[in-house]
Amino acid sequence: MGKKSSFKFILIGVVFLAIASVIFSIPRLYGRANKAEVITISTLKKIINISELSTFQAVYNGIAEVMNENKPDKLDYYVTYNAKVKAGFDLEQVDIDFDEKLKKITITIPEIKITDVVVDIATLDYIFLNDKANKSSVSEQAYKACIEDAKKESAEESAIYELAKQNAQNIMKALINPLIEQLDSDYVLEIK
Amino acid sequence: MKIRKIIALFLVLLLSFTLVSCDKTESKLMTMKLQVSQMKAICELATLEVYYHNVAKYKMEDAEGILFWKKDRHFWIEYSGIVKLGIDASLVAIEVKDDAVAITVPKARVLDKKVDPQSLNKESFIVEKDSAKIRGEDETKAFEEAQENMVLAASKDTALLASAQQRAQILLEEYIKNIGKAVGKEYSIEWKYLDTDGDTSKNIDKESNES
Repeated sequence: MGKKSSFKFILIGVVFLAIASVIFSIPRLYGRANKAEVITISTLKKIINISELSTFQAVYNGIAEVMNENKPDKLDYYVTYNAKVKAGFDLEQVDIDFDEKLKKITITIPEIKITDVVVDIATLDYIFLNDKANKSSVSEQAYKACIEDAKKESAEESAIYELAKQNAQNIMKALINPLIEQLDSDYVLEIK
Repeated sequence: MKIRKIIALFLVLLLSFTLVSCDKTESKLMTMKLQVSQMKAICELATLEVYYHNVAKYKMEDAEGILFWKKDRHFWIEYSGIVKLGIDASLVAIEVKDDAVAITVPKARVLDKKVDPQSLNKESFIVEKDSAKIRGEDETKAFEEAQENMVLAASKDTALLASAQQRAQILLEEYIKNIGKAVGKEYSIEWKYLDTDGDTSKNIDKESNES
């Protein structure tokens, strides 16, 4: 008899708890049109998922050297060009780690890559060492040389990658820091 | 009887815990608000540091010689540096009235520049084959001009400046949207732009963020 009544009591308790949970959950689910959101990894992912902010521009106005086609050791001319270089990272690859014990959010930005190099053909300017190279087809040849030069030089320029990463870190801070400051100022944001 | 009491206590504690923890998070979220200091900090973080590789061109006609033997001095210098672009956070004004936010922002501009001195060396010079001799003073002058040239080039780069401006505005909009989501509000944003003289132009656009 004693065991039976204990079981009944537990059952009533569980049912009561379930009803109470449902009652308190309903307003949270449907009561407000704009439900308040707690910071979690998924909400953080949503917050940082802004494609316009994942690419950075660099300016590479350079000088390409064009060698003589028949005598590859002889320089025909130098040509200057204006180019825009885009560097960025894949937002899908951003890693977020949430350590509730240490109160630490760690965001790891993936590898920065050069995504685009555009040379403005209207900006080419020359210094000829071999006047014979100054013929009608020169701009076509020079443009190709400029594209190659801009791609090669920008890919090797570590400052482009470093600055893009620095800009990306600042953007992550700007998106997340204000929210965690207001929600729980004990949390620390680390961006790697 | 004892078991009953323990179970009852456990259930009451469990229920209280659930309610208190929900309430705590909820109350923290509800106290979130738009803060001007945070919005200014966002503007500062929105500043873009742009790698700038550039070519300064130097040409002085009839720099050397006489009559038919006159020569121009013509050379290029290749150098690199960093240009900081963004909006001056000290000029940003924010006004919040209920669900309406009015933000006055200046136009993005070059905030700072730094030429990498190591990028300027003998190899940076490209001299035209018939150019007059390049003197030490020409090099010094060219180095000085290179810095100004970089700022001038960046100041004229409307696409780059527009990108810096857009970045700052997107970050502010996202901040407002996220706070709005937390407190269950839908803020409307009105942008006002300060021109170079510090006057406010008419509202160019008005946005309502969706939550």
